[in-house]
Amino acid sequence: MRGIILLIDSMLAMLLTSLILSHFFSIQTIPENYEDIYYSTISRDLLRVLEVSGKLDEILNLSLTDKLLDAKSSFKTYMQSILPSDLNLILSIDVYNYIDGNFYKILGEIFTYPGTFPVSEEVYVVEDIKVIGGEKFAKISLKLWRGTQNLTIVKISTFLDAGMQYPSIHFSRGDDLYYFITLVDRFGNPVRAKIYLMIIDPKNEIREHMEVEVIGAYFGEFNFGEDAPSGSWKIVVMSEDGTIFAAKQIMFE
Amino acid sequence: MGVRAQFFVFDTIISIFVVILVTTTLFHIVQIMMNREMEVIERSENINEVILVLKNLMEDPDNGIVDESNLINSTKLQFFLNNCNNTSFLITLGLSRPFYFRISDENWAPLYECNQIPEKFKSLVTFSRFASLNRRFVIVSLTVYTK
Repeated sequence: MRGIILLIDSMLAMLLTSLILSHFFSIQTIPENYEDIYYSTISRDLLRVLEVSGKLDEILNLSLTDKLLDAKSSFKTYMQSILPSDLNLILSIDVYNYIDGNFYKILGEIFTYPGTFPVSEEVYVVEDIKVIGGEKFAKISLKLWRGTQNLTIVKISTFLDAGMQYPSIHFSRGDDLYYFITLVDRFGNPVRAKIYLMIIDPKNEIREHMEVEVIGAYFGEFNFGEDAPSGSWKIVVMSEDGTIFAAKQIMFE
Repeated sequence: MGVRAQFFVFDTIISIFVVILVTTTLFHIVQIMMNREMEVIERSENINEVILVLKNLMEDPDNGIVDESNLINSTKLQFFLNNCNNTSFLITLGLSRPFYFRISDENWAPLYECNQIPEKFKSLVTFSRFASLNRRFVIVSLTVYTK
């Protein structure tokens, strides 16, 4: 009897071991990802948006008139406002002039955002030729690559109205504060997270404290109250473990 | 009852207990493995679908909402918003899963939306593209998930 029981036990143990091993060595039929297509298309999107918004013309004109620092600063400010934080890019501009049957390079500049060169092998490149006028043309090349960090990007936007038409950081007595908090990952995916939201007055007293389960975005409103002190107020968003995700300062008068 | 008989009963009970324990563990391990595998496959399929549908939604010659300069065509956008729950229209874009569509400004504040993300979902993925709407920078995002 004992022998039979031991035999059954050992058979089950063998079955378990073989199942675990087959899991590790199995050929997984996961479909191929199209992330390469995605990054190629967004690098093209960015170049087109730069062209359509007139930002590329502005950068070109500043560079050609020896205002290179202004051009670099303008590029960085624009990219900071539109580009998700984990994306990096380099914009190369080479301007040529056609004189007497020959091409002469009259400008060769590189604009980096946030300011590094690619360490990744997956760099997505898109190029375009832009005629500037006369005999000049520019060769534009945009290289885009991903950072490796797994980030949760938190943004706090404040408004004077519930329709979020009037963004502001200045509030007067009688105004209500409307805030919109977004949590996205590097792809712009809404991140699901429990956040702690605090509104702190200039005397460092917590006027509002709440715990919210957020899926990508949270909209809220806050009434300053009649006794609200004037000065600099803070909206602080913290993670569950107390790490500060983001903070925004607003002025109340 | 003799000592040998007592040992035999004790052995039998322990063995049955071990068999039940091993079977339960086995069942749970297989279930966890299957779920994990399914999640990976589902997520991967959702990634592929959302990237391709977003490409169609933006660039398709008939239904794409942007032109060659990535400027959003208001008429085509309105047509999409009006038909964003029309199953046969969505199939032409290659969209077969539940989705949430949003156009937001640079602060990710929504300007146009279609559908909502429910409280409960699985394998949610979102990809975003950049475009211009009335010379203003906008982000076009598409989220798909599994119910």
